Amino acid sequence: MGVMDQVELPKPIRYVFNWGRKYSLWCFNFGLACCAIEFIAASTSRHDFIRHGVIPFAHGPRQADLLVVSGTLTDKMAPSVKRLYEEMPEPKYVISFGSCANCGGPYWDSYSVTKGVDQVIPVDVYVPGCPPRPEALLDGIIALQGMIQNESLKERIAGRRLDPITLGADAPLALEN
Amino acid sequence: MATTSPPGVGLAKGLAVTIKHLFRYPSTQMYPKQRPDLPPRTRGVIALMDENCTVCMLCARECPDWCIYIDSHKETVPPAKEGGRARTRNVLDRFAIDFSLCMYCGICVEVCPFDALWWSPEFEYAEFQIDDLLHEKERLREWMDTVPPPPMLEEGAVPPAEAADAIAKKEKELEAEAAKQAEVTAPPAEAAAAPAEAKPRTADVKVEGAGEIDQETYDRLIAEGKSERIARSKAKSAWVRKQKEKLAAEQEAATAEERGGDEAAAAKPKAAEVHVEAGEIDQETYDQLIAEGKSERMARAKAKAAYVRKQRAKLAADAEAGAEDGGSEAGGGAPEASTPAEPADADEPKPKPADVHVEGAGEIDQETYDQLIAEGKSERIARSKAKAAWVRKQKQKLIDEGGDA
Amino acid sequence: MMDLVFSTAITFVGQATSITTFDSYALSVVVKIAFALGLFFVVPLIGGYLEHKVMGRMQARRGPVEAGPFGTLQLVADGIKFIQKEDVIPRAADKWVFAAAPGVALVPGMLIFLVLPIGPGVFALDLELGLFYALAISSVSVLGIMMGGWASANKFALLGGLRAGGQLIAYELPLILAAIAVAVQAGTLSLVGIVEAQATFTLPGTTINVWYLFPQFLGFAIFFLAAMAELSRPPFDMPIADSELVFGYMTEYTGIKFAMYLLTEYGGMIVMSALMVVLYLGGWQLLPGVPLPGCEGTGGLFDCDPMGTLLGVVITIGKIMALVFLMVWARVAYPRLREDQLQRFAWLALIPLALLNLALVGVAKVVF
Repeated sequence: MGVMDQVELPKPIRYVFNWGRKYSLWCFNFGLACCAIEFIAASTSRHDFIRHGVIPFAHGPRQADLLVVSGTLTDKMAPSVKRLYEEMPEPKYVISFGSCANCGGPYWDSYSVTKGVDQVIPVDVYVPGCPPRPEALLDGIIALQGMIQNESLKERIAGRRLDPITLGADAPLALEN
Repeated sequence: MATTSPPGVGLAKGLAVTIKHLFRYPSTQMYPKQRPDLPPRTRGVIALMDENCTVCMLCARECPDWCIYIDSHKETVPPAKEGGRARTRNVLDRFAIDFSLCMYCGICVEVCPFDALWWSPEFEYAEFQIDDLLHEKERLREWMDTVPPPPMLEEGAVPPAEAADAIAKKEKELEAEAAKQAEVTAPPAEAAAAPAEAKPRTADVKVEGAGEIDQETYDRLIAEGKSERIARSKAKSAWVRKQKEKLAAEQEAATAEERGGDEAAAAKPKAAEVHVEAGEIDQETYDQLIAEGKSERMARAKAKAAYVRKQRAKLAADAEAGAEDGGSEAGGGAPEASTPAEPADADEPKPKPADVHVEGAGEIDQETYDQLIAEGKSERIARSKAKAAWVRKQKQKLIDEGGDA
Repeated sequence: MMDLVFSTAITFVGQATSITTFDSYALSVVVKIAFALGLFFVVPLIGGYLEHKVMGRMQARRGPVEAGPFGTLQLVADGIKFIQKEDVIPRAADKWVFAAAPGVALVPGMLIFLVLPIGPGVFALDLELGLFYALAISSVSVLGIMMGGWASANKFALLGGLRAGGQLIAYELPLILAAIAVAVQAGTLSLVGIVEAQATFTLPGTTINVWYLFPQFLGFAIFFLAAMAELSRPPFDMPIADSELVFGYMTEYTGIKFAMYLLTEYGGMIVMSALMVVLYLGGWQLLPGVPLPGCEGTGGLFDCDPMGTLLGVVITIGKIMALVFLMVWARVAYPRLREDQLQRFAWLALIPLALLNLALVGVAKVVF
């Protein structure tokens, strides 16, 4: 980082770098509802997404590359998702898992439900289902990996969404005084 | 907390459990290479057979998420007879399901009075843009290719009324024919199997052992002190082997008999061998043997042999006819006998693509695939489109074959 | 093909054997550093892959499959990814300490590889105080961990760093006491000397040659447990307990700095296993009392031809991996201890036992 978002890397190096990002997606599960159970099923021995290099060892957002939002996002929870996303270091990817995360799902007309995670953070892959099968998540991950292998990091960073609302920017820091 | 075992036993147990699993075969399904074995009624995606849709709007109104969008207009159909009344009918303009919103409850499928909506088990349609999850009419129609046939009846279940009627009728016919048919060598036999019998066919073509074992082998292996598991698996494969040997022997016998029968078509049977599929059975013989109280297995084997025999005879006859007079239309009845499984009744209309079922086990249309890859499409998209293309082509082929007859 | 591989290997090993007798001082220093760095960056990757796969199979999974053949390049992919990640430094963090901490944790891990003998003559240095050096320098790593925990300006990181400090103090004692018992029995602190002593040690009154594992099994068990605790490997991973402390002292670290902490952990696993191999498992001996082919010297362990050297290295790496396997096995089988259980276990069980072990060894040394 720092250099890679300024300079377009030569093709062989870009290939190797993209390959590294593709097979090392440390994953942070933002489980909000029943879809989280399917996500967990995808990590268990029957489906085992560590095969594809999706490693669920990222205990905190700082180490994560991939955020999987699975479940109903409420307006109350939305700032937390936004903040979590901002705490992740670039390059970061987001999978919206299930109908609720895609656009509110069965609760789209509820007063308290956010109509999709993409209202708050940019989403790379939408996985449909209610809840989707674990294999559907694997399919979404494979689609994401195909995207990563062909992308240019410079373009990705340049085209990233910069919303004016940044949570916690004005918050006082207790340790500073 | 009272512990019943001395300290340390639990620790050892933990180590034992984990080491045991180290040497077991992992239960992982290698997903992209190995397809998941989905239950037949899996709710993966909703397919639309748009010919069946009458725009009654029931599905859109019952949908709890309001994720179905329907547009239509009315058309006036001119009166069928002179002086009759002109009628109006609805024409479907748009039918879209928003799968980002859908909760897969299946109410629309249940409520549809004309079987226009179906469940398909496909689940691989994750998208990069959320708009692409809104599947329009055409895309929903493509899913129709992946809808599986209705599940088999349970063994020993009462057959559906129409199927039972057809079998009874068939048996009566056979009895009548058997009475007058003493010296006829090749019976015409095209009275066409009942439509309902097309269903069991899909299961019948595959002669796979559903867990049957060869008792002899099993007993021997057990006596040798082999473990139950090994004995069972070996006996299973022994059963399949024996079964195959038997079938092969019968087919060979049939061939030999046929070869001895006529020399005129001696050049032709070569072609026949290519076309005769091992899986097909002669429905007539099968029914007859079942009616006689033979076992299912025996009947199947014999029917298969009979089918091969008939095919050979027919081809030989065709060749003879072709040699004598080129434009003979008399052989029209014969080809129908060749497809006992196809409902080839004369009064039935030409089948629409939707009526034909083709089951693709992941085959792809190589041509489409190569083309899409060359166009720069991703491997995943090319594969899925090529799969659909294959199914479409297969269907067209089946229809063409049926149409010729 | 095989000939080519062999000749390359022999060339390499030939170089390695001549490390200690190299004429040019500067060149020998470069070769030694390259040797230590090479070991440090390659062997932990093998250990990490082993951990991935063994953990997977023990949980009825497959582990990595897609990255490289059989997933062997999974950790390489991780490394390539980490160098691309954004380097986040929290605003309230003490920037210099925050940035220096992973290095402080990583460098001691590298330095230990200088004294580890991994084959007959295959080592960078044979210090007279090798064991002392290894144990002393491995304790420095925790300084980097505490620095990171403090400088992150994060309460979870701070708690994790303090737990790591407490854990180190508690488990360094039994570790060192167990190692002292070995030094007492061998009569030397040199790691090569300890291997040599094991090759000549026979059970009293017989001619049966055994490794120190046999007379000092208690010491080995103490050393193994204390080493796992010092590396904060599960089930002793309280400093990074993810259900309590997010990621402990690593909570705020991203990208390459985080990777350095991870490498410290995996390198530490290799270092501790290698120490156990040297102290208790007879170094590069295949079996007790069996001389390596092509080797002479004490117990048939020194002055080897290239084949014998290569075999010695393979045997050492094999033993290290076997110990790593044991650590992974414990990780899969057991849940994490509670913080108070951990301290209680060290102070009330391991330290008295280690003292007892030392006393027994001292008495035995005098009597026999």
